[in-house]
Amino acid sequence: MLSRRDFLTYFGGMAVASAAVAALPEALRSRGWWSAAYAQDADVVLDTYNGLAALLWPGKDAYSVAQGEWNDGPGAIAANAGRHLMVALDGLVPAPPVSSGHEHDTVPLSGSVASAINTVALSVNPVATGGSFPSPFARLAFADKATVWRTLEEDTRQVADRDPTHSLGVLQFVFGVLPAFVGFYAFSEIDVFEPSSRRLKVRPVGWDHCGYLGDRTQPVEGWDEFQGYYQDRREVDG
Amino acid sequence: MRDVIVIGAGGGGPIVAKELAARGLDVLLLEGGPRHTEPEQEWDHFESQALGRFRWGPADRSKPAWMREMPHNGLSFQISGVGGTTQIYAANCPRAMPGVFVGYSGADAGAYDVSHLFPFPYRELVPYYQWVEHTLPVQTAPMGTKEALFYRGAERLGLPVNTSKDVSRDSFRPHENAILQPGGTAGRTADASRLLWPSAQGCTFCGYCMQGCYQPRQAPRNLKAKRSTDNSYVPMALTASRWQPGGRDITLVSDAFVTAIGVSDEGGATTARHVTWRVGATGERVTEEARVIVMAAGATESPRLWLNSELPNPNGWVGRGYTDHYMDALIGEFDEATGSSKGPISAARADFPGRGFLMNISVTPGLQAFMNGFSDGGLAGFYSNGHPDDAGADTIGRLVGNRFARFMSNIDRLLGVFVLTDDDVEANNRVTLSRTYAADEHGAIPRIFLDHRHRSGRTVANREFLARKAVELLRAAGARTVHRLNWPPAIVHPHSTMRMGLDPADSVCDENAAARAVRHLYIADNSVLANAIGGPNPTLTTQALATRTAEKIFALEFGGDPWVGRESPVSSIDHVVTEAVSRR
Repeated sequence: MLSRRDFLTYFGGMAVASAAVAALPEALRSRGWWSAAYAQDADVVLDTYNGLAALLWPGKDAYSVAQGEWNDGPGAIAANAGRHLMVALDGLVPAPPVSSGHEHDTVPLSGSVASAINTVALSVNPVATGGSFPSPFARLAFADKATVWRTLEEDTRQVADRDPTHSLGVLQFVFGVLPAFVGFYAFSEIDVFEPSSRRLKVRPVGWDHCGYLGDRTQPVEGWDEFQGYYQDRREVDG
Repeated sequence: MRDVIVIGAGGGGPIVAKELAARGLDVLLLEGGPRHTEPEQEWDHFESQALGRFRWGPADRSKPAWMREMPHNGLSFQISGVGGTTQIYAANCPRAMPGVFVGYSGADAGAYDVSHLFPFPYRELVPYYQWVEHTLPVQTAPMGTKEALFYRGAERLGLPVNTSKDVSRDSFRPHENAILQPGGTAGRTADASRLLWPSAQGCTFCGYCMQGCYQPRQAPRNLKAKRSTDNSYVPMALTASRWQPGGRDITLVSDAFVTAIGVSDEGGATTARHVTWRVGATGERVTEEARVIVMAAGATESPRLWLNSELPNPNGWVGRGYTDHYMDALIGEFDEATGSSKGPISAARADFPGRGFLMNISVTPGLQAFMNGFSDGGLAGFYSNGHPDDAGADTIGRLVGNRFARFMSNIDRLLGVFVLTDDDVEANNRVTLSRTYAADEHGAIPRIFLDHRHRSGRTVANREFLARKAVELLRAAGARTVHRLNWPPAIVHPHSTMRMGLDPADSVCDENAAARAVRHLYIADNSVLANAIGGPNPTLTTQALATRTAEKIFALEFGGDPWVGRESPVSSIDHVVTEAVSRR
């Protein structure tokens, strides 16, 4: 598992994300999507993001099988995408320097986001029995998971459409961008990168799945891909 | 007292710094982020590492990124550090559409945001384009498999080829870009041992434009393939005394985040006097005076700095008019090789004056999957989040489940096309200071708000037109299936938040890029662009305008003579610059 320091290295480019999710708990309470039980149990939280990872890119893991949409490949669970997403959310938001006194502190947020996902999951199907996972979202069927995401996105969008200044704009942001980061963690080399050597321990499962770089375990310096110039024109007028 | 202090070493600031250094002025260039002096040792080609390295954050990577508020779906992609976002840009260098300048009389004159034109004619900027194009330099992009497919699609649509740097009609062409053309073994081998400079020169087709360009290995900094400002203008600015008679090397200070511009009252006129910055490593505050101050912190940070400095904002337009090209992405699945993982991330384009343009795009696996998940259009097959129009594509929104697994089953059979819209300047799209979040060590944080579901009718129509063209082009190129992602605001091209304009009522700067409300203060980043320049990638136009602004500063503030059109520019790859950089 990544340390928080590692996460900050990996994830720091998305500065906008940090500010937006800082206001999550308040916005969630206003919407009735806050549940301390789902926000504070570490097993439930990780389980929730595993459920999301399987929704995006299923494989032959238990989460994918439980949702009824699976295949014989590795999937996002094999790339530990759920865990990387959870770690990312917990290291994303810098604590205000004035209140904490320590610039390096961050505000953990994975619990708040998981709370909303699971609360909505219970409203979609309160008796879902897919697998024995502690997260209600992870127990849902594939189509029900999509319904949860639809609720999370469209509900917040409709509020924001009526009032662009409403605090639910924050949630529109969070649920809008989470699937993108799941995809990134699933298909990048983050899970097998060795910081000390700056090399990969093995080929990432995402690289194998998409046929990236043939059978190489390290990136290249170049390709024999130069095919000349269109219509042999190397320069234009102007 | 310095002659000039430039705030920000991204795409625009180093241009002013280099040009005025060549005139012998004492220039201090400040950069809030890190400076990467040894990219071959500091960087690599891993995308997860690049995501943390190239961020809007401090030099110390153990510290969190800097905060920004965005209260809706979307992301802002600006990068701190010497070179700014050009460290990872695609380096495409088209000129602006002529129709976004005053005095244009072509048949398409009414097709643009005519309420917010540039306050001088296009022809006046052309010599400055030529100066920058020679300096970077800008060259015609070579071709790989993915470009050949794009051209095939454009040909089958009946589009003509444009063989000029200027755009006058719907047409397609290779990008004019700031990536050195391949020479020697570059582009002709995958054997790393044969890709060392000088055997290899220019672009090696590695496919890692977004991981920072340090190819070919062992090349001097000013001969790296991609002409980001840290590979071109910054090395020239640091060595101006060695390649320009009468030149004076600039002082560059990184890890120096400017938090305030100080002013004084001179005869009733608010006058810029000094700059205060925070040293990231120590927290120390430093203040220096200058005769002229140039803001170049970017379209989000320049208005933030203005507002945090409590400078006058009499018409309320500081931060307003944010344009971002209202981007979208469409991806085609092919039954043949696309070469998507090889070569520059984009090297082909199709221009549509009055609408915007399309360009091919190819990225690494994590970013490809990220692109699919970055959507405002719901989950394909389940819901479209209020965006029912697929523009003729087979799906709209994110692919999920086994459909996504199949989509990602061969990255070299995908071809992406980006939509870049000629979007209108709208006062409601803006940067303000956040009231929701605590200030950070640099003051109140910026809040970016783009009302993307209520853009102007022209903006929306342009985007839908281009999305349909993208679908047609991909199908004509041979795509079996086309997916429309319908992106939320993807702020890759931020501009016009401190816009220059004809009308003092809706502009921050005059025709010289001088602030109307504060004397001796100029702006030289994307924020000073009058509009979205018709859709094209903005960096070249910002750099041409910054060159013009440097001349204006030299003439108006220091009594000097102009040089563009009278002298020949020195290219950043000229041997005199290589010698100067190597000896430094």
